[in-house]
Amino acid sequence: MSISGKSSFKKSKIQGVGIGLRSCHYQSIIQHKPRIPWFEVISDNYMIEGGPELNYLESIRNDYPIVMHGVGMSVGSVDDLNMDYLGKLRSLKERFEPAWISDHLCWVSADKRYFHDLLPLPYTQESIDHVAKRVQRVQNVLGERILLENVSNYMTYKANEMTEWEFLSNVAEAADCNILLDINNVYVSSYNHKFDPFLYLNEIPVNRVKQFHLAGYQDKGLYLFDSHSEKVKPPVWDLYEFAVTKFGSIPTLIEWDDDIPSLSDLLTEANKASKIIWK
Amino acid sequence: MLKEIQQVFADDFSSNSSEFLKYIGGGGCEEMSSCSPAPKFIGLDAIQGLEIYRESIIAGLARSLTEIYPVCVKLIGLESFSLLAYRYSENYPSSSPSLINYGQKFSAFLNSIPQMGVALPYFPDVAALELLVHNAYYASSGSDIDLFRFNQLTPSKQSKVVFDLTPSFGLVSSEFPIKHIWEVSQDGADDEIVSLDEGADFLAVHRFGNEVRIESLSAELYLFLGEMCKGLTLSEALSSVLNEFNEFDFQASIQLALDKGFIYGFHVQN
Ligand SMILES: [Fe+2]
Repeated sequence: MSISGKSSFKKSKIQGVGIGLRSCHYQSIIQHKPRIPWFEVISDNYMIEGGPELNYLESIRNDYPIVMHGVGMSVGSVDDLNMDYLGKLRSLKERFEPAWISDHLCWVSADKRYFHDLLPLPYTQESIDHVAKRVQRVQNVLGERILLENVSNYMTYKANEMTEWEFLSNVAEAADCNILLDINNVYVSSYNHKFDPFLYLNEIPVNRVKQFHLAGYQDKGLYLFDSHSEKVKPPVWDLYEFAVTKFGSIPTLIEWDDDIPSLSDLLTEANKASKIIWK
Repeated sequence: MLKEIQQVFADDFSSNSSEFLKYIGGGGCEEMSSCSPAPKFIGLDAIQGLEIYRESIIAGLARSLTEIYPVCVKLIGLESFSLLAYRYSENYPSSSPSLINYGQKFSAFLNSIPQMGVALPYFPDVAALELLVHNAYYASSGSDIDLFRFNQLTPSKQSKVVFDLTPSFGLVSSEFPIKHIWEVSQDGADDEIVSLDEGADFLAVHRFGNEVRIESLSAELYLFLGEMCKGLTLSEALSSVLNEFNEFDFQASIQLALDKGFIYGFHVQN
């Protein structure tokens, strides 16, 4: 028997299919401790001074491993890096010990104004150099390699010098960071810009991809919209199967942010992914 | 180029123009038929693409307001609230990476709408109350005041004391019964009609443990706490209140503020 003086978070590995931690599920998770291998936590929601949210997170963290996913880093912005934001992220990392931290390959702010939307960058060498420099600074502050996620895309810059998959791969290489590959975003962008999503996946370096996202889109007729409010759609499941064969059984997250269903419905969706990942 | 693109995008938002379109390509039959050998841009055209982002940005900000102001949503319905939230979102940029901090000027915005005073005179005050509740929920916890140290001060030092109010603390007043309106708008509350003639409200909002509390105050205690929020010393706050309410019970008021946990520290002003 061993007795430790101070309780410490379990450093379990992130494996299998996790779900996003949302406040409407706190009570149910704390009470019933459902069999979920890990949670993805939106870091921005916990960059607060105090209050119950941090207590809930702490209590859930005691029972589950987590990864942290952010939307406010704005690595693609030309505004100065928000050091207050990074400081808070570092504090969260130290307090909650996520297995890793991720954000998006995009810009969410300009001229000190936050749009809170994942705006795409032009696929140029200038963007690669800019993002790589900023990611390296972020990684220095956090003391670890981060994951950058591909965003869904609805517009094409005239200045583009390469494809999106080349851009993502080049950024990861230049910044020496990892990739969170959102399979739904690949599909949505491929539909909106008429490219082959399988070709996209084929061109991404295997060694950089550490996590997948799966989510539902809305069919708006002319285009697909990454709404995070629906079940994962059949073509995205197909693409996911292909991704698993290419990249392996990478930890996968079911993302659902709007019209959030019950925990058991989310678990049904997660089980579908588990069947593919462990096939 | 990157700097220029982002600046133009931001400027477009402020000036409601579409200069940004010059940076993006798009589909459309003309471009596709004239491009040879292969069209570079197919799929969504530039105008459609930009519109999707604009709509998504404004909708995202507006949605965050529905989360901060759920009682306001209930009072006028989601559709009407969304109209107001969209108007606010178009005119009030977010300066924080976190949406939790958005919507701080919503009550002032509502007050600036000329018809509001006639149609829903209490509505901006309810919004002000909801913002305090929201902010209190995310505020840091205060510690307990060191009363022993306070009691050891000489009377002249005590008069120069400035109390620190707990970080979640906020004050709001209204000529309408906004606390009652807030209470009957909570999930699970009994169906109840609130009469606007019930009288004015002087309220303090703070968090006690995990629970955000709304406390009704007397007009004089409200004024006294308001003066303390401004950083006035005890004697300054007291004389200000006595100017208006000569029967103000200072001892009882301080005791109440301490018992409720409004005060968590103090310093002596030189
Ligand atoms: Fe994602």
